[in-house]
Amino acid sequence: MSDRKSGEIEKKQRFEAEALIHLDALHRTALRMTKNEGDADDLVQETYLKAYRFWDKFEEGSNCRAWLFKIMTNLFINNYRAKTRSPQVVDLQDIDDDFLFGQLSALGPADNPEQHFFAKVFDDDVKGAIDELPDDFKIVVVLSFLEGFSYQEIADITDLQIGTVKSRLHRGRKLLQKSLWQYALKNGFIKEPA
Amino acid sequence: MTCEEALKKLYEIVDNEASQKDKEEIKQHLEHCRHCMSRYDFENLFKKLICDKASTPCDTSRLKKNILDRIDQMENKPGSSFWNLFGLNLFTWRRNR
Repeated sequence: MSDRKSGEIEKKQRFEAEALIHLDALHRTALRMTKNEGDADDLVQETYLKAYRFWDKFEEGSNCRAWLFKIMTNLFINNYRAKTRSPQVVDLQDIDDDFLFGQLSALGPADNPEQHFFAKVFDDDVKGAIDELPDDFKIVVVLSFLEGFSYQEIADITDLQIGTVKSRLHRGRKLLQKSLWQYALKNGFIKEPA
Repeated sequence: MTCEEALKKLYEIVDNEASQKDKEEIKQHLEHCRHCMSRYDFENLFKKLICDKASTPCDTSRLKKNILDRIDQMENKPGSSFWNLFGLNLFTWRRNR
């Protein structure tokens, strides 16, 4: 076997072991970013092909998972978001920090409304609520909630200041809580307080 | 520590970003304050709910195969698949003559 060929095989094996093991995580996040399976598959595939092309630039021992998410987030912002971009004006004035907690507490302590609420919310409601978030908020919420990245890692991935990450995460949380409350009312497992 | 101070650090604690000192001070406050404790419990639960419900696993085996196939195609340059096709056509064309 030629040196070139064996080098290629070795590179591919390393790539499989270090990069492709994060496929499920990238796919999960891509689904929330693009909101559909076809685009998510394309986005993940493009991410990996780009990562493979620049594999020599990736420093061994550094955080491969964060590096892959950075590539994917950039691709999403530049290529996918443009397609569906709509004005992202969000009014958060009327949502308190403890919006959902307050609403649920107001239902009374007797039947433990929080547990009731958490038990009843459907997977699809949660996914729907995330999907509806404006992209700027959604990206940080997904990276934090689903992928468990730290504020600093999210700042590195998104090229944002850490303060911006925090405030977007904060506002994303509020929007998610409001949205899930509305799902709960719509599905009828919570009755609007009189 | 007042309730206001304890709740100011709420998200940093939930997101595991608070310093050890803050963690300990807030833990002390929560031991004596049921209201703040239930708020902290709630936000922890909420984060867990989002993570669990949005993380249902998908079958990515086909996607993985596609990616590996595309990498193979990339490695088998020179010549894109278009030129390979062209070369193949030329070869069959000659044979036919």
